[in-house]
Amino acid sequence: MTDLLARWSSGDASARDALVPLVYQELRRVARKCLVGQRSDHTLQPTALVHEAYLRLCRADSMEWQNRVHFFAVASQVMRQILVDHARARTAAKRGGGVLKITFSDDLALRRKPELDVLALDEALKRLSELDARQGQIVELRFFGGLSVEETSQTLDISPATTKREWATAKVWLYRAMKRGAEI
Amino acid sequence: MNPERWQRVKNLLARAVEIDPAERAAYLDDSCSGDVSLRQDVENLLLDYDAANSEFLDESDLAALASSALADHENLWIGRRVGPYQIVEQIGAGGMGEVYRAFRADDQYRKEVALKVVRAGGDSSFILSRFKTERQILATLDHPNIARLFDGGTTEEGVPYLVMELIEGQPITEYCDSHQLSLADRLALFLQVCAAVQYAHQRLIIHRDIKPGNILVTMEGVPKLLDFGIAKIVEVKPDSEISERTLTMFRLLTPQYASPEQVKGEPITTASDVYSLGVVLYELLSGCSPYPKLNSASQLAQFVCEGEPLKPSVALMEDAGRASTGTGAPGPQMANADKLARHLKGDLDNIALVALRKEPQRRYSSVEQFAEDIRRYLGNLPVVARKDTAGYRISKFLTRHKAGVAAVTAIAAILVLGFIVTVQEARIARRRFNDVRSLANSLIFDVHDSIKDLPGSTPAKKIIVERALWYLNVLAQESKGDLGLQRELASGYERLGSVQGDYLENNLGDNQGTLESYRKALELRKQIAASSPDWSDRLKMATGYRLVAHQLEGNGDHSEARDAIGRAIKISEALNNQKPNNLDILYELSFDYEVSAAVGYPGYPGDSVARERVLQDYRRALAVNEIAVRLNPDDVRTLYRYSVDLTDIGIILEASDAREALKYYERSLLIDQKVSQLSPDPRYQRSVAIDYGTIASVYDDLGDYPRAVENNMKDLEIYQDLVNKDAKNFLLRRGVAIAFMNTAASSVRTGQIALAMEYSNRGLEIMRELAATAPDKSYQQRKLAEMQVIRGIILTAANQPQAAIAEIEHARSIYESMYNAGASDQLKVAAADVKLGEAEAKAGHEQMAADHFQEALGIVRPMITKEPADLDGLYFAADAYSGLAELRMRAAQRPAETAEKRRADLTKAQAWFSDSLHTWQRIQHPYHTAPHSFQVGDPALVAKQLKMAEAAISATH
Repeated sequence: MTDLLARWSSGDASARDALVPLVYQELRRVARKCLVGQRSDHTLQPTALVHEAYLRLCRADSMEWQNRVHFFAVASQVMRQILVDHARARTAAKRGGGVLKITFSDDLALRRKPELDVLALDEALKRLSELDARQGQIVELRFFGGLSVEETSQTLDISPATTKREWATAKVWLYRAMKRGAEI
Repeated sequence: MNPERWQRVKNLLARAVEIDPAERAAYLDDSCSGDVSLRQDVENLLLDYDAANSEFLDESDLAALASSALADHENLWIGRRVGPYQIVEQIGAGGMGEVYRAFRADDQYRKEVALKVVRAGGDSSFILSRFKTERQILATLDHPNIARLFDGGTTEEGVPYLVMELIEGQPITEYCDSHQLSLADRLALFLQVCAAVQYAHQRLIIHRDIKPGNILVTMEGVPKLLDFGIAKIVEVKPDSEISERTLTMFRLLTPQYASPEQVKGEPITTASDVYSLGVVLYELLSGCSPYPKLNSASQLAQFVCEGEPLKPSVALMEDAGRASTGTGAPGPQMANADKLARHLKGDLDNIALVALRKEPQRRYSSVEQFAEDIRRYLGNLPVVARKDTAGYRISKFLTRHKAGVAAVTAIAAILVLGFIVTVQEARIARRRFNDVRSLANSLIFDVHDSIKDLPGSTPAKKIIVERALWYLNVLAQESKGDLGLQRELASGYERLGSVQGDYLENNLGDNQGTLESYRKALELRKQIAASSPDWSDRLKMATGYRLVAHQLEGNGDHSEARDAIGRAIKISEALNNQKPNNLDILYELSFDYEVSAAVGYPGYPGDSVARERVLQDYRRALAVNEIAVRLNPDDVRTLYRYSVDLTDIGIILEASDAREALKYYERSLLIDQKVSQLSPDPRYQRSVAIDYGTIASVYDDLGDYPRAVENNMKDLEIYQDLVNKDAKNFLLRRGVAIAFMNTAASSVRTGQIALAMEYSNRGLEIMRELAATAPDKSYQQRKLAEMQVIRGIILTAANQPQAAIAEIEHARSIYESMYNAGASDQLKVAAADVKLGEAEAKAGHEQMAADHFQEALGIVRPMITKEPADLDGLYFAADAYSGLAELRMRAAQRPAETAEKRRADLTKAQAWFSDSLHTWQRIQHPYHTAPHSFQVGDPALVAKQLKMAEAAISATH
């Protein structure tokens, strides 16, 4: 793991490809551990998840900060992938239909905020990345990786002020692209 | 937009939000310098800036997404093995958890089931323990309209899951609509649902969550109730901390079908299911909910508790009216509604509203009554459900206006009403009383008996009997002096006692509880007998005393047990004198004598007077059973008890007179042979085999080895026959192994070494296999060790001492590992040492042999220096002494020895032989086999050897 991160940070792209499945697996594993057996109203804290996965994979104390940064970059991408994959699977399942499902009292009443359309976000983010690759990365790290402004700045080696500003404007662009479907 | 353009827009936007909104226009005018579309882009984004930066893409979005994605068990559970089940796909989800389609991985037909993961909030250990109790009760629900609960368990993470029959169908309301069922068809379907609920209620199982989603109708049109009683398992513990909030949430989740008492969190009864069924019926009739459309769950909850639903016919018309205002003119729908409403008006309106009454006691008192009223409607008979009576309406008025109505008016009204209510309630009470009574009795007897032999059903039995007893107790208090009821109550206590801890049945090990229950039963039996002229009540009193005596004995209270059984015998003997040749009395009397023998007398078994009295009890039991057998010569149970008496007498006699014992065993064999011809039950064949084995062991004791072999062979033959019919039966296979071994052990003494070698090998092979897989490890290990010792003895006889040593040493290490378990294992270590000494001597390892004999003596000495000495200990000490003596004799015979050394050896040998002989003499009735283990030496031989040693000594002088 450490080795892969080191190779990746020194520019070896194949190392990144090898990292993704590892991180993916670990995130799923940690998530399963958190969720299975928990109470149903348990809310997953993705940030904690990413941190725990990191600890497990890298044994933090022996790690260079540089590696940690790269790890979060991978983890954020992976998290995005997981959420998108899941949303796709769910849409597919809905279309597949056919089988009569057992109906249950749903607990929608307890949910405050409508769920974010992650597929639309993914699409919009792809377009934003074409316009501004760094903004795309910031969104990925801040939102999907759950990283703080400081962590994001360190990961991308930019100032916190820049991170804040880029994050704010990126959100407006995404909001408009998603909510209004506006072509910008 | 291109990247360059976005950079400009982005920078302008970032700057614009930093400056005062009032100055933004000027800033943008300035910065865009006439580029209208650039300015438009920035202004558009500014409009959304606040919205995008308040809640959009914040942590809660990610948390919600991640939770639903990762918690979504399509990811986590699909394809996973849970216990023996393989999960295929998710088919439902709700507040309590998820439901998956799964199949048993080890089932070649891949029969599909529904696997429900229970993930309710609250204390998981509480849920688990509740889950375990309820699961067993629910598993007894076997009804064509109830989805079966097959199995349940916990995943490796400790999450409880239930495995149920997989039902594919539509919720009943949807089914009726999509199939456009007529009113009569809807009612017929509903009646099937009622029958299923009634079936469960008779077993005191309440559904608690009846709703259309839990009543699916299959493609074949069969309604199936799902999730029976599951709500109880996942219900949160009432006193846990989070409960109040969760409870409220839980209640608010689906008040649509919940009864007022459920919404309020009050105790739930079968009447709650009546209410929920009422809501379902209401919807089936009118097509709409009995409640108005309300904005929140809490408003709905309030309406459930306080609001009065419209009559279904009125609700139907209003609904149709609303529908037609949407479309314009009243269409055919309206006409249909009008027609239907006329059918509903009156009886069906009333039936639905009676089921929906707020107070549980004012609804139909059972689902059966509810269903009966619908049947009466279908049969054009007058229904029981009537509009609320005047009395009811006045009382409702009084409760609603408690504060407003003057006390005087209220009192006057109550005085008038009081009389009516009392009469009414008395009538209802009587009916309910009988309902409850028959329910309680069916629980105690039918349900208890039907689950009696289910493995692991004991806690369920206890719950059932306790619940039923609770009802009976209440009833008994209400009607003192009702003999029939008191008899039922006494039987109930007897049942409860046997479930709690009667040491002959599968039980919960609650010995004190059993005794108390039996005592309560006895108290009742005494009261009944005092006021009843019926002789059978006195007989039952004897039974009561006997049960108490039996349990007292089991609890170790011999003197009280003696007293109780004495009373039982007195009553039964008196009855037998009055009514001789009555089978019931004869059975009780023989039981009494048997229990009396089992209780024993002070000083038993050492004291010979006590022994005589025990023997006399058994002989009396035998005499009584002999009469019973004469009266009922082909009754299997009578014959079997007679044969058990014969065996019991044989066992007592065997200690002093094996030949006399043999006579009883042989009579017992004859009876058992007859029984096994009368009944196909393989257990009786097994007792024939056991008889042969017992007889063989007596012949072994007596040294009549050819007869021992003969009988062991018959024992073996029967066991082999039984195993052929039931190859997986553990006990039978072990029986074969033991029979092989016993046959081998006796045949080695008749000199049939080859046969002994073969049979002991086969026996050991089977036993090794069983010991590897057996659930009760230590018992099977002991049995294996025992067989290895026997094999060792045979190997020694076959002149293979090395192989013998290996077998016995293994056995010895097994015994030694259990050394702390008790004296019997210590004795076995000593026995193994003796046998090892014999094998080592044969192998020529004299020092090793001597060490083993000494070790054996070290173990048994403390057991035989006290009085009474341990019988097995005496046998092994005698053998160890003679083993040591033989070693000395062998040394003395070596030609190289000096005369002095030879004399010393001979003297020592003489001393050991004499020790051996003295030890033998302490055994009153010396046999050729130690009572609890292996074959041993022969005192006559020792006496002869002693004489030889003495002769050799005098020859040296």
